[in-house]
Amino acid sequence: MERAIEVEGLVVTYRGKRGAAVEAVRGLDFEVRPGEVVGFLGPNGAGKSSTLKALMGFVEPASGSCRVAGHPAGSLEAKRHAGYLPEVAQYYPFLTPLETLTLYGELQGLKGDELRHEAHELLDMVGLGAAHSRQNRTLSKGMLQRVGIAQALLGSPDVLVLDEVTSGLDPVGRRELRAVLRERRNRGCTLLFSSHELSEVEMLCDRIVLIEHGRLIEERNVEALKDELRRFSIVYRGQASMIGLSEEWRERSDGTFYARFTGKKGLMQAMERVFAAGAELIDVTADQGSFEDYFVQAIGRSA
Amino acid sequence: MNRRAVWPLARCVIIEAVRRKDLWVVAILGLIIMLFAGALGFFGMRGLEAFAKDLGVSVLGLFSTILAVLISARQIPEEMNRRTLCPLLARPISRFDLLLGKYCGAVLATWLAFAMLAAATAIGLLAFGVPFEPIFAQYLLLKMLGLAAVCAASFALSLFTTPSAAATFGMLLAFGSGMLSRAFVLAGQSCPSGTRWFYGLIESLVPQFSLFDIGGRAAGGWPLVPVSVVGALTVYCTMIVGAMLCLSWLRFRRRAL
Amino acid sequence: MKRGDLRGASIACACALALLSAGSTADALKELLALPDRPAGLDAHETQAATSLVGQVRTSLSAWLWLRTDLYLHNWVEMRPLSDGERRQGRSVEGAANDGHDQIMREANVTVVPAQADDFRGILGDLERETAAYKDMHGHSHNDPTAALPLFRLMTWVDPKFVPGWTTGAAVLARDRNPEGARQALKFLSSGLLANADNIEILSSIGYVEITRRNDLETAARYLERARAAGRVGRGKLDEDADSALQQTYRWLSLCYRNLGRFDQQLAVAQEGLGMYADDAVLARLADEPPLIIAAPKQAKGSSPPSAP
Repeated sequence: MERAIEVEGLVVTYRGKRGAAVEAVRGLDFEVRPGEVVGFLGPNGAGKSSTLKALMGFVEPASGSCRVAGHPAGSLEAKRHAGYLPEVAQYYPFLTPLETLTLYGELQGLKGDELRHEAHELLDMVGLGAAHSRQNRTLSKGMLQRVGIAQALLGSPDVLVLDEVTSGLDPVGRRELRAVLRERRNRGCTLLFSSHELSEVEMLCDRIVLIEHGRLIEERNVEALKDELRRFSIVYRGQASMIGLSEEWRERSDGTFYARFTGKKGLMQAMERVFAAGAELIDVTADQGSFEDYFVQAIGRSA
Repeated sequence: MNRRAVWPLARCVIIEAVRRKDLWVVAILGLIIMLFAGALGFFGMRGLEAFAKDLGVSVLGLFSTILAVLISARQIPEEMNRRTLCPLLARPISRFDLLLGKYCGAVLATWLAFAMLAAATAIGLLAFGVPFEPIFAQYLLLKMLGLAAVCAASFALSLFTTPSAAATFGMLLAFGSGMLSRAFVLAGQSCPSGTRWFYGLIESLVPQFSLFDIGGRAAGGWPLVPVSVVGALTVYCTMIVGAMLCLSWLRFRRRAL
Repeated sequence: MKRGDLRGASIACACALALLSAGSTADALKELLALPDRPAGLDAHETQAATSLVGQVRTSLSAWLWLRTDLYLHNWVEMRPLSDGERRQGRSVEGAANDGHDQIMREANVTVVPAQADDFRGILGDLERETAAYKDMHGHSHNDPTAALPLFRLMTWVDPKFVPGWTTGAAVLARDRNPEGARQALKFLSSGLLANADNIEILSSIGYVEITRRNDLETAARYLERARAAGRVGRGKLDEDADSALQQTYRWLSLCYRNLGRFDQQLAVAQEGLGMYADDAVLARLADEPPLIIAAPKQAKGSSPPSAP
């Protein structure tokens, strides 16, 4: 399997209020390699959920194609390899989490002790071990999201498609979720998830796919993007000409100079010049940069 | 078709019917049957066995049909409203498997309710000293077939209209098909013989749920319905259910979730 | 305001106007055609029943029991009257054996499920004939109506305004022509009269039972006079059943007076009846009878009852 997920020229249309076709996704192309963790980003209404639904076969593409684990999206083979968490986690209100997982497990083809064992293990993993026999209608939104995560992980799928994965989770729940997803990634599972929590994306993803108005804007490697966004700055006492390499510098009120660099290379050269001139280096700082700023700028550029 | 998927889905429908207290309603209806029986007893018993049987089968038929329509008409629309369809269809099952599982669940839940009502009716009748005759067994069997057909029709309707409209149309069809059939028979009889094929065609297209109700024969102490007729009705029921599930699938197979 | 709202408002206005104009047109047509008001008997029943939901339930339940009674009498074979079209086509009825049933309930003529020869539905028709309670009803007999008595009691208890329940139940009680049956029938009808004061059908039935079962002509005449007075008040607004009962009242009352030797009253009643029912042969004969022909000693309680009109 060379590609865990392939999306080619995907167009998804819905019928609008007056019967006219509304394009939610307009010719989207991207792919996810096996074992990769990809964040699927975009503003509200960008077409993220529609794309994920097309990947699971819940909507039929008007044109283009999607493949999951090498099989056409929506086919039984594709579904056998995929786990899915819907955007809004709703489960049968009159079933318990354990019964819910048993139901989905049986549909997945699991049975007997294997199913029972895996269901209990997953419920413990998502922190619902003590609530496994309470009816879903008595659970909080966050607990229901945990049920959803557990059902998505059931059967150890090769590909996980998670829509708004952190929705409804508190900070502790998010941390636990990150641990669960990292553990799956370490097992070789491919993850594609949409989220508005950019910090989660930053912490978990290898790559991001950014879309707006149903079109691809950018695909970026997360580490490269982090490097790109990282900013360095130094504070020194000496001459302004000592730097010259900074695109942003200023003299401060106490007579010292502040200089900012976009890359590590510029910082190193500047430090060498400061030391060579025998000037005093007062402070060196590294700023990680904000994914949020990047997101806003990227969306702004595309508009 | 993935037969393995049908039972878990059906079981889920039954569990839900029990836990959401649908069967409490059945219990209350059973109590009403008993009260009716008590009312008959109050107005004199001698010679009332036939009426007790008639009342029993009428009330049983009425309540079980209402339950059949209500249970089956809500299955898929409720799944859509609650957004529980996506996690189900993300599993390796086809949309037809889902429809079949849900339909089977609705039928089993209806039959369970019917069994409870039938037990209440039987107790009421025994209190009158009415023995359980073989034709009652036949009545129950054919009624179960009829309820399966009613479930299929309501289930299909729920995919074409809103749940409330499906329930209303389902009841109209379930209770009115006999009346509709009689109207067409009268109209056909009074029109020139050359145009009767048209009424015959409509008759064959509208499901005749009243054929599965032998309550009149059971109440009147008529002889058993021949086995060949029971066989023909089983085939007819299968045809109705098959047609309705096909219609449901045609509507549901490409629906965006 | 949105364009859609405006359109909705204009449609609502148009509907309201249409309804108003339809209402006034209907009133105008009613006046033009001089349609009669709803029959009083029917109104008495319906207005009482419609006053509350419980009333409607009672009405429906008693009507259902009434239908079940008819079904029982035909052993669950559903019967119906001939349609106008069938009458025009000269279709033969599936008449009953002469077992006196017509004195109890109005007889329907053909089975609802058609006979195979009249059925164009093929196998569906065959299946219905096998599963429904169906048989050839030519010269059919009826189940014992006395077994249905509790149903009459039930339907009149549920809806005391259901007059056919009182009168038919009484006819069943009095059917065996024994004193106990007559006593029960009169008691039953008296209960009905309490709930339906001055009801022509009940008063007429009491008169009928008093004459034919107890031969108490004085008492019968008293009740029949009450029915006659009620008929005068409600004349023109009576439904078919009440009108028929009023016609019977005139006949029985005139006969009563004849057998009591009160010939002036006999003639007066018969002539008044003929004014309303000009084609009635019995009333015509009673109005023309010279008193001499049937001159007899004045009869009181215990005299022989008049023959049925």
